[in-house]
Amino acid sequence: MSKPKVGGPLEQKIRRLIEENYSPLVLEIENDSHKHRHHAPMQGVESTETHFRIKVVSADFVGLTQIKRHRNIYALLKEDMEREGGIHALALVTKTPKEVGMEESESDGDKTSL
Amino acid sequence: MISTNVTQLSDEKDLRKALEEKSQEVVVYFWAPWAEQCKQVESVIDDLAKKYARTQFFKVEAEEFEDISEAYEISAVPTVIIAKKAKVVGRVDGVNVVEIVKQVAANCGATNGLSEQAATTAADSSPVELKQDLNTRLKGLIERAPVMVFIKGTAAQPRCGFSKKIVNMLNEQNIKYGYFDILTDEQVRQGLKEYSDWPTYPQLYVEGELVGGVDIVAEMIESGELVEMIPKGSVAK
Repeated sequence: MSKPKVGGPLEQKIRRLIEENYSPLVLEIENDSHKHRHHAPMQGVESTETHFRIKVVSADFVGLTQIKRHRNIYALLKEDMEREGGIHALALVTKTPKEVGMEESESDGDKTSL
Repeated sequence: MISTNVTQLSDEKDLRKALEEKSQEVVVYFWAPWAEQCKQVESVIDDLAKKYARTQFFKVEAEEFEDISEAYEISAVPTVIIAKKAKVVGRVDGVNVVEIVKQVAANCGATNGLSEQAATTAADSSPVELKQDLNTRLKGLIERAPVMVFIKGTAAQPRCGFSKKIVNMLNEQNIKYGYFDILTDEQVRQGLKEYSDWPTYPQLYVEGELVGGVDIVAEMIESGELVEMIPKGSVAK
C-alpha cells in the first residue's frame, strides 16, 4: 500500500485551518520552499515550509471579490505569516465551485485534493 | 508680502540662469495639477521659502517642461530636487515632508545662516504625528501614478519571482505604470502592509485603490477585467 505524501507540520496546519473554515471541495497545497532555499531572503532560515501555492475551491467564496477571498485566507493564516521563519510567500487560487465547473453541493468522501 | 524667492517657472531659461549664475543651492519642486498630494508639498515649499529667504525656489509643472523633467529623471510627482550649479545634492520623491524639510535644511541652512540643528528640532514629531506622516507618505506613494506597483527590486531588475511576473504582465499589456522598490525602504515595506491590510508584495494599485497581488492580476488579465480598470492615459499605443 503506497502512503500518500504527507506535508510538514505547517502544511498540515494550513490544511486543517482551511478545511475547518471553508469546507473546500478542492484543496491543493504545494510546498515550493525548496525552489527558493538559496534566495537571499531565505539565508539563515531553517524552515523548509516557507513558500506555498494553495488552491481552494469553496462555496464560501461566492459573492466575494478575489481581493476579499485572498484577504480572508491571509487572515486565517495571519499568525504563521507574521512570525519569523513562518510563511514567506503564498500564491493563492481561490474559486467557487461554479467557477471551476463543479456543482455547489459537497462531493462525497474525500474533501481534499482530487 | 509675497515672497520673491519662490517662482512658478514660466521660462526654462530662468531656471537655467539660476543654476548657472548662482553658486548657491536652488530648490526645484516638480508638480502636476492632477496629482492631489502635490498641494501638501506645495505648502511645505512655500513655508520653506519663507524660512530660507536667500535660496531660490522654483515650482515646475513637470509636464509643461518635459526637457527639464527628463534631465532630472522625474518619473513621478511630487518630486523635490536640490541642485547646486550642475549637481543634484538632494532629492525627495513623493510626499515625504520630513525628508524634504531635512534635506533643505541640510543643504540650504548655511547659506541662510540657519543651523541644521534648528531645522531638525522642528521636524521632530510625536509618535502619533510620525504615524500620520507615514500614512500621508504612503497615500502619496500609492497615488504617485494612476497605475502604481510596489515590488521587490526595480521594474528593470525585479528581485523576486512574483515581482518579475507582475512587471512582465503589465509590460505585456502595454500598461504605463510607476513603481516603488520596497527593498529600499523598510518603513514603506512594513507600513504599507498595515496601511492596506495586505501582507505580501508585489501590490498593484490603480487610481489609488489596491487591486491585489500577482495572482489576482493574472486572473484579471485572463478575464479581461484589468484592461477595463486601467485609465486610458495609462495604456501605451
